[in-house]
Amino acid sequence: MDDLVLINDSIAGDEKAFRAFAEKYAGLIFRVIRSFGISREDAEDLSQDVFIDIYKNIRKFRKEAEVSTWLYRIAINRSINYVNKSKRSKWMKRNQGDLKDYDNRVFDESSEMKFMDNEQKRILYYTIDKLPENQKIAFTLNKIDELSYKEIADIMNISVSSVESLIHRAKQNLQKRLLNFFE
Amino acid sequence: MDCVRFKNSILNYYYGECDPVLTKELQDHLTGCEKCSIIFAQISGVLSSAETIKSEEPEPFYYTRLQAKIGDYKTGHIRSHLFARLAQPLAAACLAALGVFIGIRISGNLADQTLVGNDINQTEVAEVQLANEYFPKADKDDIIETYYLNINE
Repeated sequence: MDDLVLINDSIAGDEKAFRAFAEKYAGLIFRVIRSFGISREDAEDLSQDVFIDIYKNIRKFRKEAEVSTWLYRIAINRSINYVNKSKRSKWMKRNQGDLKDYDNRVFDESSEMKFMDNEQKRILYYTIDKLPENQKIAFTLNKIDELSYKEIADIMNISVSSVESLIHRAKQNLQKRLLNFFE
Repeated sequence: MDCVRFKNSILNYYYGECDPVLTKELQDHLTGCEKCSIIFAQISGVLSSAETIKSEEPEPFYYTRLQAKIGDYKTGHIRSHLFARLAQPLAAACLAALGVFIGIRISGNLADQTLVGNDINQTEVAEVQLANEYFPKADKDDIIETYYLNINE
């Protein structure tokens, strides 16, 4: 069903329409939040909070705007706020805790793969997190969420050339940090 | 191509954003340089770890929990709405009652003070009456006249 129909029906109080809307976009919002390096459990909670925000403010939706742009903005704001609010030491501690758990295991091939994947993700999100906020958002949306420059420009409310510049600088910074890490 | 130039293009190479000529040069360097190929394997491993997120979905019962949260929000919203609707008139009524109470207390104190004043006046009147009973009811001239008469005698 069309997004606008679902939104209008939700405004009229149709619970089924809102559920259909949530089912349509839950995966997308969940993945956007995950792409900012947030754990599965927290990403689920945050994505549900995003839907509650939408439920509260659905009347304020400007119908000339793209629904997905609106959703991305809310999800990104929630994710950035969450990451900023979480104290870095706590965040790092949690990740180190995960690694300790893995260290205590006797590795078979599959758990070793899991460990590698976890370690690589940790390095990736650690280095992405060091980027300035705008670079972080543009890079994440482009390289992890696979959005086009035009879509990112609409979401961030900046020009396409600014998005290009942000992603270029983000790649340079990330490259420098990753090389420092592995050399 | 040297290692420095390769390292400067490593992310663009990983994301396939180099022009074909540069891509060929980078590929040739990778096959010939063990150090760079190790670094490239490590960095591409890190960058590709984000790929798994692209296929992730929320856990089952996601919508059930979402519905429960929306239900909680609605109940909380109704409660806060009811609270706001009831609390304001209640607070106003309490303030009015408090004002009336304070007014009564203040006027009570004033009345007490007036009573004390009345008591003082009544005491004074009683003293004058008592004095009148014991002292002769004569005016000043009579007293002086009587005094001099007594002396002359």
